[in-house]
Amino acid sequence: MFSTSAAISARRPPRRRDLMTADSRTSGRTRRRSLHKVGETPDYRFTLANERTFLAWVRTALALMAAGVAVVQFVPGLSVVRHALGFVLITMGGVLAAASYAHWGRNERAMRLGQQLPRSAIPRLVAIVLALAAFTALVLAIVDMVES
Amino acid sequence: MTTLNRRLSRRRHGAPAPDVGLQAERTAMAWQRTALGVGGVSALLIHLADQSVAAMIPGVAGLLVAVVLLVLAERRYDWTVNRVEADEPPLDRGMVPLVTVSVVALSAWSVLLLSTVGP
Repeated sequence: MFSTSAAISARRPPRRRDLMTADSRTSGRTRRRSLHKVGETPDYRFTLANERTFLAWVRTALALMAAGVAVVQFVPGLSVVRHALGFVLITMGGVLAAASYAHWGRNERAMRLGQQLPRSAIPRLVAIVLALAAFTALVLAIVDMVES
Repeated sequence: MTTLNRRLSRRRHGAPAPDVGLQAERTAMAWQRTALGVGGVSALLIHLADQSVAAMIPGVAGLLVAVVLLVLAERRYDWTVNRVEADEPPLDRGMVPLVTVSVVALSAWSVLLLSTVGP
């Protein structure tokens, strides 16, 4: 019978201080080194979980882009406001894809060095922008309904 | 179950599965969903191009990327299972940057296209 927790703890990477070289301690040179050459190989399940998280963010970015196009094409109201809202959503999709790539790299590096995973501001940022965008679209729809 | 999964199942009939948590299969399916997303957005951009062949090119390129991602996801599943079996790391070597660049490019093209196309 395979024990997941036992396997994870057995293959957990050593702590950071055990792995850090003089270079990484003094200058943070590991940031520029290829991911494959940093630290030690983590449990493969962690690597794949990190990759799936990256892909989930990419799909969120794609959904934001589709939402941006839909806002420009279908939401009623002033063209300038619609276009601005759509551009914000689409641009955010592109930025989100790039940011999730950087976050994927940081996570993988942290796992290989046995460090704590870095915090990300992306979920909060996406939530705020989406809430504001939804509110603006709602206002546009209500104003259009009242006027017509 | 992916095509390669079936192939691998036949190949390793009777042998213990190296990927006990089906991590590789879940990851392959995540890649497939992402490829479908890239394809969907690309098709949307082709629709917005409004019969202009030049304006369709980025959307068509996006569709091609989606197909390439689907094919690579299948190949990569096989590769991942083999790496796990050999106790080697299955760290990505190109698909992650490829999908990132594609999505950023599609985003830039969407803004450009929508600024020229009316509602």
